[in-house]
Amino acid sequence: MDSDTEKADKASWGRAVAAPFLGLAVLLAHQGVFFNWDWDAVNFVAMGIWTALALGVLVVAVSGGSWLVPRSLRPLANDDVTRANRDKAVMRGFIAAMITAMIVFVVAPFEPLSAQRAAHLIVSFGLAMTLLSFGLEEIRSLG
Amino acid sequence: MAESLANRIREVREARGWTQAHLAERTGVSRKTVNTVENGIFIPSVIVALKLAAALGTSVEELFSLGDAHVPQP
Repeated sequence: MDSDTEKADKASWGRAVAAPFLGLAVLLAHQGVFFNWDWDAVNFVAMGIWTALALGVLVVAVSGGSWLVPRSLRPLANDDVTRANRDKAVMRGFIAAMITAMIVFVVAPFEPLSAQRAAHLIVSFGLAMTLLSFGLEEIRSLG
Repeated sequence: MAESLANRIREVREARGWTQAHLAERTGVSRKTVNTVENGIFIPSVIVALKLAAALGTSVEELFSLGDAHVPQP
């Protein structure tokens, strides 16, 4: 039978591998929305789904998803190294969001885009970078 | 200034025939912590350093050291 250390190791591996894929999925799904969305329409269902998805991914990214593992394993699966990796990832996500916002600011006079589209781009790149970075740092840490 | 911390964890651990997982269990930390500290990726807290030293039956001073470049000159 696996010890708590082994179980936490497996949970950490699962999370580390899933995070970059989730980051890529967010980026691809959001960009799919970006090019297909009818930006002039008021669609409460679509807006609600997008906001819920973005909020859910934000919670996973900022918390590191530690609440997804059993309570007994959380101290091991969410240790100092994981918290440091998460802090680093959130910082990189913030930088990605800021750079995206700056690009939007510079491009907007030439290619006008609505506040909704701008927010969509900033959120997507910020979240995707956070998840990608967290997963890659975790994989590196697990060795 | 970049800070680095040399350690002898791998040497002491292997001398005892322990795996990273075994040391992690004895220390009460994750294997990820042992791996990152051992490889110099992560600088441990004082508590983790003391736990590792205790688990390996040695002192923190024996286990960790600053590189020569970081030792303050009198």
